[in-house]
Amino acid sequence: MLKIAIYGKGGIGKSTTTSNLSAALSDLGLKVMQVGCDPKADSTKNLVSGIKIPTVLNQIKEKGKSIKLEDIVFKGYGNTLCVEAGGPTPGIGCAGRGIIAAFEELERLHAYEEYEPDVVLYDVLGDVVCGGFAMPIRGGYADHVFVVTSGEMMSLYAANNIASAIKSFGKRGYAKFEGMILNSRNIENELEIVQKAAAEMETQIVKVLPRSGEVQIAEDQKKTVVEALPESVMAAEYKELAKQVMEVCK
Amino acid sequence: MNRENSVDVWDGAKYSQFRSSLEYTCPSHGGWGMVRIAMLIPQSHQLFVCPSACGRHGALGAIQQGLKKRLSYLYLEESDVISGYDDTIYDAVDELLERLPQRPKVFIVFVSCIDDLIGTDGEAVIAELSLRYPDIQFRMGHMNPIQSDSDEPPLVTTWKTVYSLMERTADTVFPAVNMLGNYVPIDSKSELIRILKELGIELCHIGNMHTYDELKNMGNHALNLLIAPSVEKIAKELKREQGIEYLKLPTNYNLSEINENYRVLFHKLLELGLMEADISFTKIENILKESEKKAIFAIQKAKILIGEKKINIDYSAFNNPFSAARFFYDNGFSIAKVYAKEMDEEDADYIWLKNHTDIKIIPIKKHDIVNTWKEYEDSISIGLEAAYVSGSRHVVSVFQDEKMYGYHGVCLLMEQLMNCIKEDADLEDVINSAGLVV
Repeated sequence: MLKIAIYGKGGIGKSTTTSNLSAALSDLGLKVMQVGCDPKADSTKNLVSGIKIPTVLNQIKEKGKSIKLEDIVFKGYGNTLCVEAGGPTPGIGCAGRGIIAAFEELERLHAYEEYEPDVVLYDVLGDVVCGGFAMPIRGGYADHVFVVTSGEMMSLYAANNIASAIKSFGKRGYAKFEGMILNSRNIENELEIVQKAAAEMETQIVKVLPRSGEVQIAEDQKKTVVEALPESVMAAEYKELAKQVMEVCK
Repeated sequence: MNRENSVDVWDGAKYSQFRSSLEYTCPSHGGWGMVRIAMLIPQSHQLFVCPSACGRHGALGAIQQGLKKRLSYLYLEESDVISGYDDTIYDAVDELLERLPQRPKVFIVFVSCIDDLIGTDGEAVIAELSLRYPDIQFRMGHMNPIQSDSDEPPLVTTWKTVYSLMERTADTVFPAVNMLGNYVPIDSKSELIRILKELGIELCHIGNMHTYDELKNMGNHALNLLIAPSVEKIAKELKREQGIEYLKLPTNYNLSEINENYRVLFHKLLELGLMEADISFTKIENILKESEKKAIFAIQKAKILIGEKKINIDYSAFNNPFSAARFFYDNGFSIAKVYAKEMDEEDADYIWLKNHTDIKIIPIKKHDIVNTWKEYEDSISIGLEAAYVSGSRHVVSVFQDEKMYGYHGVCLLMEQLMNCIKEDADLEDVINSAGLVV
C-alpha cells in the first residue's frame, strides 16, 4: 500500500490536483483512497459529483461507538474511496485535534485493512502548523510527501516550511519529501523561480501542471478533469502526474 | 427466591439512560487509578507531563499509597503548549535518571489530556528515549479521561502498558498461569492455587513480581487467565504478537458457574498439555467439593447474621455488579440497589435481574443522585461509592473483586459482609485507609 500526503498553501489547488490524481490512478487500475484533511471537507467533492459526504468527525459526534466504516467511506469516480476528516467551525475548536481524532477512528475501524487500497492520498490543508497537521506524515501513515506550489512567493514560502518540517522529522522515520508539483499560475518566469526554490530545498519538481481552463469546466460539472474531459490535454497532464508520482514513490 | 427479596425503592426508569450528562463524582470515587496500576510494574518510575493542576490528585494519592518516590512531574507552561514539549521530556528524563537513587528498569511517560490537542508523537518520543537509554524499557501512557467512553479508556490503555512488558523469549513455555486484570493477587488460601499446585502449575500475578525480569518472564508462562474485561484487548494482542494463550474466566460468585469455570479451565489446561488426560481427578475433585461446601456454609452463616438487612451493590466493588447482585438475590439476601456506572443492555445478568426481580439499577454518576442523599443509612454497602451516596452504616471496603476468586472468593465476601455489621463504619477512615484522595 502506497501512502502519500499532499501538502501546500491554502487555495493553491491541492484538492483539485489530489482528486484528479486519484481519478487518474484509478484509471490506471489502482484502488485509491483519498482522505481529505481539511475542516472544509471539500477535498473529494469532485470525485463524488459535488455531493457533500458526511465527515468522520461529524459521524463520530452523531453515531458515537456505533459508527461503521460505511458511515465514513464513500465510493466516488472509478470506485475511489472517499473520506473527509472534517473539523470544527472556523474560529472555534481545534482543527489539528480533528485530524488526529479522524485518523484514530480510521485506524480503530481498520479502514486500510478492510478496503486494502493500493494507494492512499492524504490531502492536507495548508502548512504543518501543529502536531495534528503533522499526523499524516507520521510513522504508519504517509510514506511520501508532495507539496503543491505555484511560483508565487507565499506559496513557495509555505512549501519551504513544509519541507523543513519534514526534514526535521526525518530522523523519526517520518514520510520522505519527494518533491513539488508545480500548479502553474502563469506568473513571469514561474518555472525558473520554482526550479531555483527546489534546488534550495534540495528537492525536485515532479511535474509541471499547466494552467488550463479545462479545470474550471470540469469543476463546473462537479467532476474531475479526468472524469469530465477524459480526452483533454489537461486530463493527459494529470495522467502523466499519476505516472510520475508512482515512479517517484517506487 | 421470591420477588419479595427485592425492594422497589426508586423509580429508576427515568434514570435508565446511562448517557453522558452532568455527572456527580462522590468523594469516595477512585480506587485504583492509572498511577497505582502502573506502579504494579516492579523497578519502574513514572513521569507525568501535565499542567500542575492535573498533578494534584495523582501526587496526593501516591503519597497516601507510599508510592511518591517513584512518581515525578514535569509541569507544563503555556509556552510548552504552544511550542510542544518533546525536547522538554528528553531533558526531564535525562535529569531524572541522573538524580534518581536507583536506576529504574522501566520508565513510563504519562501525558495528560492536554496532549490530545498538542498531538505529541509518543512513539517517536519513546523511540528517542530508548535510543538514549537502551537498558531501560520506556512506555508511553495517556491520562485522558475524555476517552472514558471509548474502546480504549484509561484503564484499558494502562493495563496494556503494564502487560506489554511481558515477553516470550523461551522456546518452551513454563507451567505457570498468569492471572490478569486484578489489582492484587487472589487470597493465598484460594482453592485455585491449591488445585494448580496439585497439577504442578504455578499461579502468578504481577503483584507478586519483584523485578522487571520476573514480569518480563511472565511472557514465558503457558496461559494468561483473564478475570476482568479490561484486559481482554491486551491479552488478544499478546496472543497475536507473542503467541501467549489466554482464557477468559471472569470472577463469579455463582456456585454452579464457579464449578463450570473450573471445567473450562481444566479443558484449556488439557489442551495446552499442562494436565494429562489420564490424571486422577479425585484429589482435585475433593478440593473442589470441600471448597464448595465451605462456600455454601459461609453463605448460610452470613444469611442468618445479615437477615433482611438491605444491601447496596456498587460497581466499584465488583467487575460485574449485576452478576454480584444476582448472586445475592439467588441466595436470599435483600438487595436495596445496584449502583452502576454503565449498563450493557445485553449483559445476561442485567437482563435476568430486569426480568425476574424488582431491583432498581441506579446510575451512580447521574447528577441528581444527590436527591436521594443518605436514604438508606440502615443498610450495608459493598463498595465505597454506594456507601457514600446511600450513607450506609455498614460498609465493605473492596475494589473490583480484589483477592476474591472461586469458592474461596465467596467465603471471603461473606466474611467481609459479616464483619462489617459488627460496628458502624467511619467512612472517612475507610476512604483514607483505601488510599483514596478526597
